[in-house]
Amino acid sequence: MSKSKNTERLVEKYLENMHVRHRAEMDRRITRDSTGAMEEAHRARADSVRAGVGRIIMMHKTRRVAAILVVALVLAGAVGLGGGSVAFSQAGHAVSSTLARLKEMIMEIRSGQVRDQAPLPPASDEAEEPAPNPDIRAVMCTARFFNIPVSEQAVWRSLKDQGIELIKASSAPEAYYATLTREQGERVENALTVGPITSPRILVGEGNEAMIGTEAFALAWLPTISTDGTQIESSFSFHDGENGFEIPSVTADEGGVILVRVKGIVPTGEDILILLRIECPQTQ
Amino acid sequence: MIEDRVLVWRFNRGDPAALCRIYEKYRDPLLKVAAALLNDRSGIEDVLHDVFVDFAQTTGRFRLKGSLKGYLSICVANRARDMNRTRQRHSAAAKNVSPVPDEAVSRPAGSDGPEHTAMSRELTAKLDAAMAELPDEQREIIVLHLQGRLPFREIARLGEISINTAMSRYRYGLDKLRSILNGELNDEQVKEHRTSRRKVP
Repeated sequence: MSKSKNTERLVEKYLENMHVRHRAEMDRRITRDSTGAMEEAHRARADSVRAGVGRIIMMHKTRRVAAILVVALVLAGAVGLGGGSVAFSQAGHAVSSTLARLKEMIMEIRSGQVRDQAPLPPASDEAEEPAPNPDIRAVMCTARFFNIPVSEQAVWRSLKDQGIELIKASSAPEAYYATLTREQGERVENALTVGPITSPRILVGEGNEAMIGTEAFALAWLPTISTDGTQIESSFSFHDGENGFEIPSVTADEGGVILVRVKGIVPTGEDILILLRIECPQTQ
Repeated sequence: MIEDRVLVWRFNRGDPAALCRIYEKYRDPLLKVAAALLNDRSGIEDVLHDVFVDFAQTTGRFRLKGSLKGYLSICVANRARDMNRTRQRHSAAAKNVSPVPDEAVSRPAGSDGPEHTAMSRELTAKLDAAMAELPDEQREIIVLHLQGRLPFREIARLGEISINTAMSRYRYGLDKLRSILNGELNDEQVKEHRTSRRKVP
């Protein structure tokens, strides 16, 4: 071992062996003071924006409906709008076992034990509208799953022609992704000669994790929206029943598309192409 | 990763439980970073307190780029540096603070008997002293990389320096440690270190 490496290992071990005792009193002091500071800051911020946001929502019918929709989402979880062999559920608390839950979901679908969809919110009635919550915004993902035959090269050429490079997300299964603008996404779709296997849509409040599954694939999606609403940052988890992978943080413009290519999970050798269009209904 | 993003989202919505969870989750590694960077370890709790109170005030506008642990570790490093400088200014004697660990910091006893443990303590004391001699910026990179497990790219981004600068500081820091320790460590201590390394799974 080189001298430099030896020193590095020595210091590493020295730091590893360091144990700092914490006192219960310290925990109490820090949580008390920090939660107090947080509540104060949050209250001040909410007060400064509440009046303006409320006025905008009540003045414009479309935004008002959107706000109601978001509240319904928070109450009812998320709403699956797609058809086909789609199971949908919403996880209130995202945990590190997302991949395990996706695997469980795909196994349930394959065994015919499809979970119930989250209930649709009741039809809105002017008299029964819940109070709008402007702090929570909805995000919609339209997922289109394609089986791409080996002979179908036009779509990959289209990516290349547009100068789009795929980023490797996983080795097992072999998976790649890219972020496309709305226009680039449309050009890729136009280059496809095969139709989608299924096209589910997910509507979810930002910060909530939604899961969606087919017999071949299940995915979890957790979006957050930038303050100005122009960009959506998403974390995706995928599972094919045997292997899973994650794309922890990918940012797309509102209306943009996340393209995911997964190789080698279909026995016939076809690639799976997933186009995920991410939109904010409020801005439409 | 996803759990952190949900925690941050809830934190931004003013959920105190999310802040408490973040604290519980990262308290121990952050305490270690603070202990490794402070000249006077009586300030460990104050560093953590200040970092979390400052972090709490960003609710509603905090945007997570990279890892939450990385962000908080850099905050601890920055606060520890400020505290070291403040205490040095206020007390000339602070520069000569004994690097011997105080009561809050301990090392697990070795399993090879008291002789081995005593040797480990001697080695640890020498490393404590050597680390204290490093310039702040070199010491920070070494601690964040080796203890905080942060990649150089993240340290560079969060510290607003180039990755080459981060790696250079790390290399210079290790070189300096080696030169300080050169002659301090006898053959038995080096042998002990190598033996104990083989026991690490």
